[in-house]
Amino acid sequence: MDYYTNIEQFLAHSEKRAFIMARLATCDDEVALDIVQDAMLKLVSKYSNKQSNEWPPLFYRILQSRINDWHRKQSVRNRWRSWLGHTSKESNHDDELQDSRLENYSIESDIQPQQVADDLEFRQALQNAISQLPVRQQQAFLLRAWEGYSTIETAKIMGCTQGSVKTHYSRAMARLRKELQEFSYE
Amino acid sequence: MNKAAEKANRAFKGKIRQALDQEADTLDESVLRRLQEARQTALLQKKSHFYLPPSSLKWITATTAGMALAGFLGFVVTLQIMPNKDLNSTLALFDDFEVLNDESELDLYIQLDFYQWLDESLDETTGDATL
Repeated sequence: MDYYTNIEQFLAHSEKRAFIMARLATCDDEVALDIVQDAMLKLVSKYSNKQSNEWPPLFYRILQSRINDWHRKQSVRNRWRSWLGHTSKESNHDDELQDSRLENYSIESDIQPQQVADDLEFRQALQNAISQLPVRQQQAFLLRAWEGYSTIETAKIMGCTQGSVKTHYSRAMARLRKELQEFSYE
Repeated sequence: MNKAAEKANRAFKGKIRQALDQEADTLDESVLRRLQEARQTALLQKKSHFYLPPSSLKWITATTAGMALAGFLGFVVTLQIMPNKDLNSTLALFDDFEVLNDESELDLYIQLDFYQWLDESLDETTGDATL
């Protein structure tokens, strides 16, 4: 477990990962930034006096709660949009993002171009696959597999039972394995 | 789970973790700057004790805009369904409100009315002559 001397250090360390989580859940950079900012505000205003080892689970709990709120609001909005006959805008934003990432990554790393392209392809496929998961499966998967939280800790963060975490996590893993089977993991 | 499956599972999770770490390490400069600003805002807010989060600001803006739109629509509907006579009296009422809210002296409006009446009556009497 990381140890943080102050809350700013903790936020600086966690903000990028929190942003990735929020972006995977919302598929929107602006919304993800708002969610992360809200989570930071809440953590600082309510829990900055807590022990530093309590900050990570609290922060991720707030973050997941904000993401759930956004999904709830979004489902209501979508109901209205479908009622009003509004279609969601399709754009080539993903392609542009992919190109810019490829460019940045090639410049920053010394890895062979083919390796860079393979990594980026995997990252893109992984993000698409995670984004397709139901939000609770996403949360269980990211907290367990990426953040390294135990089942008990994940259950506390998600506000559900350990059994639910296990179910969400195993379903997410099975789905991701299926979606990403074309890639090798050696 | 046998050893081969366990190894494959570990490799799978390792690759995913690595990919997500890379994603976090190669975020755009603009995103990093925004995150830093968000962090500073959160820390400053603790010192100032008052801050409205962006979601609240959006909510307040949306509510205000919604109320304004509802008021406008209500006014338009009222004008549409109101009989002409009532409409004229309503418009006259608005004129009165305008006069009362204006900082100019009431005498000025009375004089303006007088000059307007004078103009019109002069036009009527000299109309034929000027044509």
